[in-house]
Amino acid sequence: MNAKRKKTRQPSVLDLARALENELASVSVRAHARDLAREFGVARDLDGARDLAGDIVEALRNNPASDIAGDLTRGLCRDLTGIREFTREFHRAAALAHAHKRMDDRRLARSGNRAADRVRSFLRDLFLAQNPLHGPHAASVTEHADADYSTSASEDNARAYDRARSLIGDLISAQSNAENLDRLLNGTAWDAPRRARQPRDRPQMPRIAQSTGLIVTAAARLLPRADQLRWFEELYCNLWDISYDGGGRREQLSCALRELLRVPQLRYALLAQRRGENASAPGTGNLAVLAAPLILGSLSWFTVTGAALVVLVGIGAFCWVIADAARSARLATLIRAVGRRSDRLKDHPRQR
Amino acid sequence: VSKQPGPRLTLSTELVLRTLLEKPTEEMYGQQICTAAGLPSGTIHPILARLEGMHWAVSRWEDDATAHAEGHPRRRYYRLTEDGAERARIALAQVTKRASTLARLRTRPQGGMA
Repeated sequence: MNAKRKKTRQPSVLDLARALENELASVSVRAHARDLAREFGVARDLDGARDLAGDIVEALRNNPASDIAGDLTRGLCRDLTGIREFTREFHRAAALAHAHKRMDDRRLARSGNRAADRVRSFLRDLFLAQNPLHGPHAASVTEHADADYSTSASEDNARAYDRARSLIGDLISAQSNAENLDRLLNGTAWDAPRRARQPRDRPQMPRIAQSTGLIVTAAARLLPRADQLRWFEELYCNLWDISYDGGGRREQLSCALRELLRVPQLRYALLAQRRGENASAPGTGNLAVLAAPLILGSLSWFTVTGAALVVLVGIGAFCWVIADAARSARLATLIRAVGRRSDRLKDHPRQR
Repeated sequence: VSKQPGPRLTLSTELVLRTLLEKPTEEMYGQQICTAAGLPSGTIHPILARLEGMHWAVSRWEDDATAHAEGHPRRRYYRLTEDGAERARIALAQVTKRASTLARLRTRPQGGMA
């Protein structure tokens, strides 16, 4: 029994410690192996990166990216010059459009259409100029340029890339300027002929004939001094309204004449208002003055003009008659003197 | 209603009063009144001045800012006063009564010898 016990004795602390040490050693070996593996992976990656870098350097030695970037830069420079010219053209076209607003519609339309064509072609060119960065070769160009830039393998290429980018920025701002100008031209030059073709409902800027303005001024001057300004403004506004409603010179003249003919009535009403009287009961003298304008005012424009002509002819005839009468009076005096002398000769024939 | 005498009611005055009475609280300017009354332009200013002198109507200038915004010279707006509107109604009613009496007299059958 004691021997059996001796054979199956428990592991001592030392054994346990050894086992633990062995275990720890294996664990550390595994961990080291993992670290080694990781490092190997990194090394492999680094090796691959080195190969890649070598490829890039080789590719850059062949210089396709710098060629493409150079072409692109040259193209962009050319486009930028074109953009500046186009911008100048736009400014000139816009200034012309503003300055020639009142000029011949056809001419304006022609210049506007020409400017529109230029704008369209310019925008197309701009789009094409930007397209190399998005077109079929864009991927390769960008790849090469990015790689070039990131690795800093070629400072020239990086500078070219920078320049290309700034040129693209210029292009974009120029494009926005061009669009603004396009909008400006659309809003001014091209609208003018379109507006001209629209049916004319109401005149844009009512024009008051000079003659009617003079008549209204004369009518206002016939009113009491304190009321002249107010009534001039009101009568003038009336003419403006007539013109705004589409009335021509004839309607304006007719209205101005009616206003002129009613000036005595208006004057009487204003004076009565100042005196605090009832303006509806004018004296007999005023009635006689008011009767003629009232009758004339109710007549048509042609009748009024005819009546004015008749009055003028009447005044002329009256003056002629007066002159003729004076002449006749002188003649009569002469005849009378001659008669008296002949009578005297008859009475005293010896005196001859 | 005050006892102030009214204006002579000519046809033009009657038309102007009727136009202003259609919307007594609304202000109207000269050309607008002419158009509404069916009178030729330039004929109503003495009438308006007379109505204003008798305090049947009041007038005011349009605001400069409004006129400028609407793009026209400032207008003179007229409207009837309360007293004026009342008196105008009475005057027009009297005119209508007189006119109907005249019409009745004209249509009366003529008497003849039996």
